[in-house]
Amino acid sequence: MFIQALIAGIAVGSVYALIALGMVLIYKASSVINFSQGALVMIGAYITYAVVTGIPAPLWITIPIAIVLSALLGVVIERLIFRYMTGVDLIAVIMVTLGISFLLEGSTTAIWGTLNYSFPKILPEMSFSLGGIHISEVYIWSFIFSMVILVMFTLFFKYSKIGLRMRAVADNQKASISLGIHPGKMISLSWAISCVVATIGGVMLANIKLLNLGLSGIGILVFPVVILGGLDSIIGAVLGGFIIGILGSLSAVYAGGLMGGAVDQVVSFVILLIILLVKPYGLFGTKETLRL
Amino acid sequence: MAMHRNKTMIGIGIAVICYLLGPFVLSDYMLYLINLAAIATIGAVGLNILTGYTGLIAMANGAFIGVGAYTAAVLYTKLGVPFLLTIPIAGLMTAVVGMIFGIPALRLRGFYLAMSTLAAQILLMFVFNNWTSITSGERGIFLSPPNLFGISLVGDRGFFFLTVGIAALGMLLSHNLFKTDTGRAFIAIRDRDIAANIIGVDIFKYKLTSFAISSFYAGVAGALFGFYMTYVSPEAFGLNVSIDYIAMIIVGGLGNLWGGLLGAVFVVILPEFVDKVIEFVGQFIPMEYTFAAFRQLVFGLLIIIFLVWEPKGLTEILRRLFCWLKAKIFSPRSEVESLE
Amino acid sequence: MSETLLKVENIHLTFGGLKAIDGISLDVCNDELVSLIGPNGAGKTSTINCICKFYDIDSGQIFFNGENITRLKPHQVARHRISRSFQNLDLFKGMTVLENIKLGAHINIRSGILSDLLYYGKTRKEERELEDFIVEKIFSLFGLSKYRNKHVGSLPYGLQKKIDIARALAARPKLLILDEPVAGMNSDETKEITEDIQKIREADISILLIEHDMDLVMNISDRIYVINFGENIADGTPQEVTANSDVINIYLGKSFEN
Repeated sequence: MFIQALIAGIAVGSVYALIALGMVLIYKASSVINFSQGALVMIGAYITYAVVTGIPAPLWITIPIAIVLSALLGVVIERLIFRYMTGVDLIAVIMVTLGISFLLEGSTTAIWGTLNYSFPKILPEMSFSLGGIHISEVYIWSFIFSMVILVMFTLFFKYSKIGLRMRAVADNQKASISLGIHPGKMISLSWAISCVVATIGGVMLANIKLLNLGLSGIGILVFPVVILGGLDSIIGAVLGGFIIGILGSLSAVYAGGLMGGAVDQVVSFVILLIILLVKPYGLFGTKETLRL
Repeated sequence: MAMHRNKTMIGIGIAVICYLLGPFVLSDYMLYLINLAAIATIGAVGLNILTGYTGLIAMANGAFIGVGAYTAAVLYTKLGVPFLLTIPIAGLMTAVVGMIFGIPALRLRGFYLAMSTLAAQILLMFVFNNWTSITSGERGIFLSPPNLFGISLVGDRGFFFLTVGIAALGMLLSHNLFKTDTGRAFIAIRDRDIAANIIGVDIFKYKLTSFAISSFYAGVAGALFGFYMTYVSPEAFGLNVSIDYIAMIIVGGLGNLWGGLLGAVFVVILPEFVDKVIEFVGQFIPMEYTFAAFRQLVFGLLIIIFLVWEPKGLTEILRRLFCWLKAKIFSPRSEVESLE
Repeated sequence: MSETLLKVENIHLTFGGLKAIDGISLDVCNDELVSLIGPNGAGKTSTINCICKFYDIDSGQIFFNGENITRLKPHQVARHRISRSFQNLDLFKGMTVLENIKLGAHINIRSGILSDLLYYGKTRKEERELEDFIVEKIFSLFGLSKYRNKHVGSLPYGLQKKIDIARALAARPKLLILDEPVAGMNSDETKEITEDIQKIREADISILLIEHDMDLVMNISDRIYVINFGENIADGTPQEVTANSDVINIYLGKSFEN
């Protein structure tokens, strides 16, 4: 029972980690806090579903198409909306990203409706047993994906030229322009990558559960993750994702009976509150300094 | 100066006449919309005080409205408190709850502050759903139509006087607040809180006060809402409602007295308008999954367009419109002269 | 000998590993104008930030009017009638000139929140009295009447500086701290501010001044403290300080030897 919950927690946690990574990436590149990350997860899953079921071609063609489409979506969002919103208050940024999530959710409902869809099996079949308990291949692949992406991101930001440029833009846009770096390109890139990561997370999630509108509901759980891990920390997003995933799963299993549904949400947000009171910038976030 | 005074008097006179005649002239459907908009105005004006003027981003207005609604419902159904009295008590109760959840806000800023209010929203919803001994959870609480001085307040007409009256009162109090020191302290906290602190403003006290006042408004709105709908249940107070209220004050205009009103009217009227358009279009083009999807879609689209185009909201757009109109009406001569 | 109004006793302040203030002491007596000068980074603004409790000092004491204010919170210090202007102005951009200055008088307002909501009784009376006071005394001093309802963000820098000082005056302080009031101003504007400072002195307000403009400092100060690297270097009357060889070497340069 405990092991089951733990494994489910790790699997869900890896999805949370992916989603949080997307949010951290956009924040690191442009200081925008993207409240529509959950909706991007959902629409990523739907786009992939549409491409995979709609185009009669093998997976190694359709999946990359889906990925490219997600990346394009990210660039479109950034170009059409955020390009015009530099230097705007935080609350306006929050509201715009919420507007984007309404737009995405509304469009999804309009096109696909409120039914549940079962996501086609696109992951290679794999059976795995740990101590006599069967672990579904989806869980394993989720975990593998998030680990791979974590490593890629960390290396990318630390060592690659583009990663360095992205960090420069996040730090000081004006200065980076004078160095010949294109903030616009960097920020578009961050949105593109973020959407791709969200899509991967969405596909994982749709495989674990079902494909329906409820997928965007995961967006709200990304906040305890980034608060716990730190809004600008890649490692924090991953660790935070796993911790929240595991604690959520355990509390749902053990306390769910007592207290009714959504216990995992409540537990996650209690953790969020505690972190805010004790260490607001999270385990790995950087503190802001105030000047007079 | 005197002319300004007269214009205000005329404006108030017209408003009073509309207020008294309204329920007898307008249809039930219009009254229904106005009542909802008035209740939303109360909530929005309150939120504007906290977020627009004091600069504290709060995502828990829906839950606070719920606290007001449940307080009023429980007082009315379980303790037999007279209807009119439940409203201010609901406000006070919500003010207390608001202050409690405002405490983490004292040391947090911006996004982190918003997150603590998000936690408040989630936790309060959990309480609404699960503290069944008081709230009856998902089943909700039914309220019998209230009596005011023996006259039954069934229906939109009766409520009109109450909701619009209280909304007007709420706006008046807010207007007063920002002519005074307390209001200035709020704005100073938004603009430069450290400097305000050094000048002598007790930041903790005023932030908590802002939470208290804002939550009081939400509580009153909640009580009115509960009685109007004659039913109180958790779905009406979820995160989507909180987001609606943030949309209201942004679309209406942050830190502006009319912002709450304009935004509330916009957000309440818009879905009805979209429904009508879809109905019309649906006669020619077959559509499934229509209403909910398109409401959301149009709402999202308009929010984005608004924020990209005019972040200062409707009040700014209307102001510019009035200036343009005034110029056109009062000095058409300048056009003639410029032609020569 | 006039009474000591402000007494800063051997304060120390560290940031991270850096010692910003390493044992600074100074005092200001009633009706005095005391200047605090030193090169950039000497610790001048840090010192007054300590007085206002923006920073918590590591050790030392600060007394005002005999009371120990070392452990107070910033708004409590303000209540003792200490006001200041800010190096970065820190005006409230969302309010008009009049509203900014009115908030300066916050510590003197007694009416409560309920009365404010109703705009009734005490609130109305206090608002009117405050506005009269500001218009008569403060606007006239700085020539701000015609800007009263303008938003501060739209005004030129020189005016904003004056509004910053006006805001500090609205509290009717016993001690006014001015943080580089003529920074970035041309000679005409500097002359205006100098005259304004003289008028403020006539209203029995003591002043602690931080400035780089040596002519201004030498002309109007009763006493001067020179600091560098977070330490006291010298203090005394303008004549004494300009004769001090340490000061000349570090800060003033040879041209001040006359």
